[in-house]
Amino acid sequence: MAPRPGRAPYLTERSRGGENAPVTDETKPRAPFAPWDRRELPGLFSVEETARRVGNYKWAEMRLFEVLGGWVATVPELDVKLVLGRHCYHHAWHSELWHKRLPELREMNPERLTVPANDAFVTFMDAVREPEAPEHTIEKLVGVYRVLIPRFIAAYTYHLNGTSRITDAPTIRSLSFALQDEFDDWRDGEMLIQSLLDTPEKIERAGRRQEELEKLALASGGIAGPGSLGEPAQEVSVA
Amino acid sequence: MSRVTVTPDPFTLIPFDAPTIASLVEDVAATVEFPPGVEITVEVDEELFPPLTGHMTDVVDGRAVLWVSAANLEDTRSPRTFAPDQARSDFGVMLLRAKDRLSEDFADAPGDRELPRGERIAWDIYAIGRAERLGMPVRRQRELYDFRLQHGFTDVADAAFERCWNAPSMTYAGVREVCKETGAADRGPSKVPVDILRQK
Amino acid sequence: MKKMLPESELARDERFVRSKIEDRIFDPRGAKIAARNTGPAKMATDRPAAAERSRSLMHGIFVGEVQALEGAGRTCFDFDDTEAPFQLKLDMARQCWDESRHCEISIKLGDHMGTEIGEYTESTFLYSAACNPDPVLRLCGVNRALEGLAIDVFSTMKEFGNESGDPVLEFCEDWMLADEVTHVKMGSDWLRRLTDKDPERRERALEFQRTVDAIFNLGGFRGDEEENVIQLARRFRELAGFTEEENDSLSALARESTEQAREMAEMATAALNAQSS
Repeated sequence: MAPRPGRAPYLTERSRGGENAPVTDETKPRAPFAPWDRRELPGLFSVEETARRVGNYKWAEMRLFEVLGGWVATVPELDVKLVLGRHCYHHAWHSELWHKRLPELREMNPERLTVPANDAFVTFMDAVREPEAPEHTIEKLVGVYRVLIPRFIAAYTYHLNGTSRITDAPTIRSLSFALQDEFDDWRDGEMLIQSLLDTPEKIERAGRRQEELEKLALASGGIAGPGSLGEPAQEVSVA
Repeated sequence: MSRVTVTPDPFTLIPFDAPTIASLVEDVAATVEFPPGVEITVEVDEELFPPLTGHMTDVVDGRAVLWVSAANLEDTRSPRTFAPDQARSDFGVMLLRAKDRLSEDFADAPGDRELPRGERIAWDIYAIGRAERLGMPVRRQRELYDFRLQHGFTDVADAAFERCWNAPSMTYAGVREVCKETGAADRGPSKVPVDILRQK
Repeated sequence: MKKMLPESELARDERFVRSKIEDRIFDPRGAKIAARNTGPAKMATDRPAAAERSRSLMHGIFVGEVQALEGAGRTCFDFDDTEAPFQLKLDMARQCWDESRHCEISIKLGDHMGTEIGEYTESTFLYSAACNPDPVLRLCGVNRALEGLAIDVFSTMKEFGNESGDPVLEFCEDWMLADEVTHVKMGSDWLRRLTDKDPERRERALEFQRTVDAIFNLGGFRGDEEENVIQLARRFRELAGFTEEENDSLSALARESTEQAREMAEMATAALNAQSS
């Protein structure tokens, strides 16, 4: 492929145009990266930044699994009870994945980084965890499945897409597993919520609860604080 | 004067009412078209509580003699409380079996104390199916499980259950045939007498 | 949300009816039944009311699983990081998942047997054992005593499934039995780890366990004999980490309770005979 005038010829050495060459050339050793393996080195996060985020993730997953477990005894709806019991384990397992990742990111004392992103996030999580009465199943579920878990999905997706696919492969693996659960749990929770919102009044309740928590989440910046989803993309002049 | 006699009267251990039970039995007797000239004696064993359920039906000197555990008539959600709907179904089954005993179809059937468990449950299912068709509340899956315990968890047993349940008529010979087919007839005699709950 | 939720606040839908222990203790029929021979209590198809007994027990298992789920869930929430190690809470979360699954299995088995949810009353005694404010005592009471009881119950039901030729019951009980062995091991492991340097706390925990064990031996409910509804499952208990000494001790405790039940029955018979003469 001929380079376009005035532009850097190729993105990387691998893009010289030889990628369509035969895979096997019996006279030469195989390249370390197969032609279809497009992973590159750079990523958005340093070791320290990754560890910081992972510590925040662990803290948030811990608080979530604790409250899901605590809520089981407080919800009268049998199907909700059983789902909360299952989801409690999912988030506990995520916290364990993060707990194990931290020493691999040079944090030999995982407790040191197992902290909330900021005080505002603590306020947000406390608000998510606050409902107790058996009549407040809607409030409990909306907080988790319409506000908190979407934030996990967002933060994890941003991290997954932005980190180095080569140097930070272990974090990517854990993020992938965790995201699978987050999507499945989000779906379970959303379906439970929809089945519970059977009157306009209940819809209003759900809306009020969501609004209240969204504002608190906004103030915190997200699971990993400001920058949980990176900075908004800016238009860059190409002139 | 009622042809239905209920004992004990009065009940001493649980707040059941003999006249209420007698009236219910009369009503059920009419529903199942029990022969009007036949007296009905009902003995409720008030000492037995859930899950010690059981009932027996015999014809003695031309009288229908029904023995039933109070557990059958008790609301399992409210101890010592009479459950009329449940009672209606169970008395319906008992009276249908009593009707069977009065007919030629079951003339050669032994008394309930001698009836093997497999034969007993097959006969019960025949009665319960009829009770359902007469509008009495019954729970099919429950009865299927009871049948399976004595006849096996097999397709053959399930098919036999369907036939007993849906049969418009049946004989004692037919009951024995069902037991041969499912293998219930090959089971050894029960180690525990079938009427042990009735013994005091 | 507060910590330590009392059993009176357990949330239930309208199908569930709470039974009071006094209802059974003060039931005037109890003494009469104790004096009668109602046949061996061990589950078998040729026992009186076999179907009803198994349905009643299955419903009891179901409500027990709900309470076990709730208890494990509360243990995740009730203790902070200084009171209960992170790994202990992870184990409790795993137990939540397992108990949630057991609830699902029990519901399906209930359907299989023709039982409805809420058909029988619920005693919340199991959950009350999970209310202990000391996590070590809680784990001993729940994971060693109650899950140990679950091993016995599931083993009994598995045998009943085998004896009655019920492949569904046998299959399901065996899977649940495997999980319960894991839960007991969790309790045994944490007891050892958290009381390694605190023999007094260990002894308090074991005493609490013995108290819970004794309650479920009451009236000869559990033991090694035909007259016991639930049979002690020694082999599975050993797999779960109970020592031979512990199993022998439980067996002796069960025999004692069965003997006490017999003596009460004899006393009841004598009293009734005296009344009628």
